[in-house]
Amino acid sequence: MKRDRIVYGIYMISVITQFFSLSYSGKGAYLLGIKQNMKTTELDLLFFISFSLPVMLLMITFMDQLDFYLFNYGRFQITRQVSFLRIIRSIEERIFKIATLMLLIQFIFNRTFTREAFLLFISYALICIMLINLMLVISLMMPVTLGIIILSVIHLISYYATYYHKLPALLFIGKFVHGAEYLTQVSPIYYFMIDILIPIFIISFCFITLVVVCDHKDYF
Amino acid sequence: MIVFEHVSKTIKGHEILKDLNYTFEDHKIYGLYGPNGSGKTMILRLACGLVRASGGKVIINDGVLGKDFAFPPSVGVVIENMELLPYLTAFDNLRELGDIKGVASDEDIREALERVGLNTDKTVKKFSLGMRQRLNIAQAIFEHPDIILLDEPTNALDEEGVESIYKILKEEKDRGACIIIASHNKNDFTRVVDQVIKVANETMVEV
Repeated sequence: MKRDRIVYGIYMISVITQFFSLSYSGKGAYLLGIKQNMKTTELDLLFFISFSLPVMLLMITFMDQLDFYLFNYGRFQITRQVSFLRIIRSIEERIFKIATLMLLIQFIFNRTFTREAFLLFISYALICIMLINLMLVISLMMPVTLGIIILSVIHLISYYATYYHKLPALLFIGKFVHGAEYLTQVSPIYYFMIDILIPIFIISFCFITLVVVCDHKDYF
Repeated sequence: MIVFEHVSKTIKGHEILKDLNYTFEDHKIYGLYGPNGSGKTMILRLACGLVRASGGKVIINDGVLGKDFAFPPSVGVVIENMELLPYLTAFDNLRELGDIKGVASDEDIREALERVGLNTDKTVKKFSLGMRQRLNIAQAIFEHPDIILLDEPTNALDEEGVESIYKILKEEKDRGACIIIASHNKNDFTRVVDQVIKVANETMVEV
């Protein structure tokens, strides 16, 4: 929370970097740091920066929130016997608001207003919100078990597999199941699937960290 | 009442506290003092359930901490790095925390804020260090808990602030609370406590 202004400031710089990267390369738009035009595969420096910075900043913000809600404000709550799930919900709600704001900033900079781009944005935002809420509900309903941790790890691996293969991929019973080839022809769905994995990845990472931290009560 | 029975605490192989045996009774104020890193704050953390003992047990009234309940059923705590929500007022912050257990009324909150001398509608982020400390104390007392644990409660307070906190502690003691204060300097609390305890060499000794 203390670093909010710095984080947003750096985030704005990263978004502007992306904007110039996009203008310079002319290779396509970026969404949450992922290139929309997936035909080119090179990993140049600008692409790497624009890919990693928003995610890293979201992580920094998350760690900041974690610090505050678990170790500062959280101490007031847990000594009043609040369940850890309530604390987790506070953190996830906050992260969700920040992620949505970051998404909006990104779109304002990186999208020229066309009807198609606008519709794409609305659909993407709706799907993101739906998925993040779903993750939130699942994490609140499910007890902290090995199962949910494994599920989160699968999300993480799937995210990296998707990035590596440039195809939607999901780790399923020990094998990577790739999105059907025709999906790559139907651009909106394909792009959605790529981008949707990022919020899932972030939420999964947050969840795993929370589970590990909350289970280790001596941390307080 | 808080009972430490053969309590020890080891972190990463380093023994912080060793075989503590002590009973903190109700209607009393205890003052822990000792050099930095002697384990004063650790004793408070153990008493409120924020950390678990490596050996022995902490008994709160008739229940064992960590076995019968994760945290004491009625406790008010101020330990280092505790911060309230910066975007809320003092009243709204206490209302938010009070809603968790539902034992404190709006009147209780107003009374606690009045006792610590906080009468403002500012949000917490605009508070001075001293005002934050007063609010933390109000947070520890507004639900009239059985146990009150305060780490360096007079930090950042002016003379008048210190006097008002001492007055509150005496009132809480008369109400029946068991109060433990920790400070690196025993002169901070000798006027108000019933029992001074020195924490050093991984143990505590009555002075």
